[in-house]
Amino acid sequence: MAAPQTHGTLRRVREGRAARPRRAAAGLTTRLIGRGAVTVALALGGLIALEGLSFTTAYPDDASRRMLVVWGADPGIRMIAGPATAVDTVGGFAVWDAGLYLTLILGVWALTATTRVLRADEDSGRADLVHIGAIGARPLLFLQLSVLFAGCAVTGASVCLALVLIGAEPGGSILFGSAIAGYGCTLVAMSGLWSQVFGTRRAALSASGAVLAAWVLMRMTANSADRREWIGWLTPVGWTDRLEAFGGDRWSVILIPPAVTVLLAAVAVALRGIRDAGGGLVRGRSTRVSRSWGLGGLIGFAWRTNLGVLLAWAAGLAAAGVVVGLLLPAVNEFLGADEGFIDLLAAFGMDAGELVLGFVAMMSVLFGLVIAVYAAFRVGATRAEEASTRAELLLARAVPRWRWLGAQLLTLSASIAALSAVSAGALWLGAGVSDVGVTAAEAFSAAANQLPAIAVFTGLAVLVFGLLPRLTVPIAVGVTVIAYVVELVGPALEWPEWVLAVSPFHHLEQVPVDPADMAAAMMMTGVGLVLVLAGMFAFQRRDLAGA
Amino acid sequence: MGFAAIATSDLTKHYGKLAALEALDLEVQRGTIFGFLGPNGSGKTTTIRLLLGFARPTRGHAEILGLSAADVAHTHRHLGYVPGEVALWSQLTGDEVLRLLGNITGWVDAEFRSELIERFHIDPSVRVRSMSKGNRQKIALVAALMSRPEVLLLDEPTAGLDPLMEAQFQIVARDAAARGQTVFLSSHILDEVQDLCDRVGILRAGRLVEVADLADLRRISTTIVDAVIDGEPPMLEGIPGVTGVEPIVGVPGGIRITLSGPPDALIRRLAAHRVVRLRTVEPSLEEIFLTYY
Repeated sequence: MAAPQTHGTLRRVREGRAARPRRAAAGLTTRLIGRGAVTVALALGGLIALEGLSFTTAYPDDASRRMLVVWGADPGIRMIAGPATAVDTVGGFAVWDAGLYLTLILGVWALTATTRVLRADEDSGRADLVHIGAIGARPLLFLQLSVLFAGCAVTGASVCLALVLIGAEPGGSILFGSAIAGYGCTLVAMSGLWSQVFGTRRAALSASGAVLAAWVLMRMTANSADRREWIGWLTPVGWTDRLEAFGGDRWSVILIPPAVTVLLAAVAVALRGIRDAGGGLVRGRSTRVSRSWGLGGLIGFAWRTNLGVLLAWAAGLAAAGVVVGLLLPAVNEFLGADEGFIDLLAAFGMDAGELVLGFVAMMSVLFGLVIAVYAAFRVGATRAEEASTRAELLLARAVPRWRWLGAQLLTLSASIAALSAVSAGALWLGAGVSDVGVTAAEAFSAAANQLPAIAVFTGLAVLVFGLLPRLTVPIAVGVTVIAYVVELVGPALEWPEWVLAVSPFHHLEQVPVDPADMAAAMMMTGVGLVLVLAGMFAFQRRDLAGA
Repeated sequence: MGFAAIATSDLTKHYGKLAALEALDLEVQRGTIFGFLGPNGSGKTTTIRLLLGFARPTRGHAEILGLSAADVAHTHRHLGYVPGEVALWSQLTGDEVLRLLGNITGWVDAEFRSELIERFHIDPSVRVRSMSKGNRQKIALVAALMSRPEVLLLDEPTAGLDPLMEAQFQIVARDAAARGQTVFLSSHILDEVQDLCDRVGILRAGRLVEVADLADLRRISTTIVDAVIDGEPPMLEGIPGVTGVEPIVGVPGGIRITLSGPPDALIRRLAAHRVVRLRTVEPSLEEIFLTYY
């Protein structure tokens, strides 16, 4: 009888050196997210370390630290940074001051990594190669989520370690690190759920982003007044506040993130079993009426492909600008008595008389950094057009390379100008609402002052695109962030002038406190232009490179 | 206009130590369909990318209609290109892609475009995201053909098409050649090359090992002649064209003769004997090509 024989043969094969599909799938997922997770972990740890540094240098004595406590109680500050628990200790200060950045950076990574692994791979068909392995759909999803959770755990550990290193008390550090990890895991699970519902990465990411934005808003509402504090229990961003790390140390709260994560993940895994591979539960339409805008030429098409992302970033910058504007009265009131902050301003070259405008200048530099990072990502998107070979369809026509790249860069320049105007306008609006005296000219000149530095970073990104295309995004974004950190940390640490001079941010005057240095601005814009032209020339000369 | 449609001279491309293409000397006349064959990795796609100016040659140069291939702004006005793997913008529909590419090209034969859409059974309102690989390929084909370019560079154009669509493509390609357009296609599908191409070039490991008209290739290939001779076996040494003689096992008096070239001399020698049975086996084009692979 043939059947028992073949069955036995199969069993023999399986008992031999058979493949380990689970380990392979887990290994693949680790490789896909590993670098990003480690980068985010280092970034968050570095952020905490910076906070520790600024705490010891800017608030060295008890008097200034008591000011921090008073400042933390201000409702406006509370809305943004959360309830100020033990801000007179280094740990409490670090998590209070950096909290929003931690949640945003980790949030962005968690959402993009999850949708990339769970959705984009399926859309491109790469995931099919894994799906035909000896592992079921649900176990595979469980494995992928587990690897993503491990990535969040790594970031939590990094934060905990950084806190301990700057001298925070260990119990609170562990608590807060766990809270960060738990927050990340909740976002991963939520995003994983949307990835089962929607059929495209864009839709899943938009839904996840909308939920995260809603959660951030809910936390801000919860922190705006005592009677609304209960809302803070409904949002993962708020759970970190309820922990009261370094203060009350409420360990029971740390049980909530894992519970919610497990719930969301279980729903996601259950849904995975219901849907088809490559699709979502929500089936998009396969046909559409043609929309002819943006199809008339290179520049029009560059706008059509870029507009969505531009609007998303503009919305984010607008919200941030309004928030900063609303914060200005608190700045005026509290920072005036805060010696630590006055010392910080002095390190930047400003004096206490121009507090509000000094704050506007500082925040404008931060917005400038954000716009420079946007520019680096957009040059990265141009690189992605080339790598995917979509650009070849255009370049095979009578389109010289410089015209194609030029169209992309023209759109990018206009986008940068638009974002700059949006951030300035939103800040002016917010300042107007909170009735602080910031004129439109001051707000817009502060924003315009950043443009030369942004030009340098954009030029650098284009140059890397022309010379080392595969490293476009890492180098461009990395250099931008490092230059900002150098400018932030360098003066306080009293680094030598030549080190600081490397960063374009160093050469910007603190507008509107001081008048703009037109010579430096012209020179930096010139440098940026030269870099762009060099990059375009290099792109003209090299081979078109695939992925 | 005495220029060849495509002319390369010592065209070489090295990627570091790897010689993707070595000293390619090729000429493709206008109004012909030229087939470019070779195993995977033999340099076919590299050649097309060099002709398009997407990569720069390590040595040598290429010309399209007498213009240097590096002068992209001028040569691409006369070129149409279909890549081997078609990637399109997933947020667009087929119609939007064709509109975009038509606007970038500048001029489109609108009637011909509609005819092509009909011929290839394309639904232009389908989003690229929902298209299969073959449908994306059809869009790329229409985009290349619709502006009636002088020279068409097609990298495996029918790889994803079903036989019906392949037949349609052959009609369109022959029509284009009849109008004086040149078709340069690289392919694995030997049947298609056999049906379509006037001339064939065979690449192996970056070198051009053979370029000939299809008819010539058939003529110079080897034929197997099986003869059953009654009586004394014939003396076949020294006959021009005979490259091998061996007895057929199990058949008394049977000989298998491997012949390359015209059979005239062999027939005359065999005619001197009593031939009981004679059979010739023409090699299929596949067998011809595979000897080069």
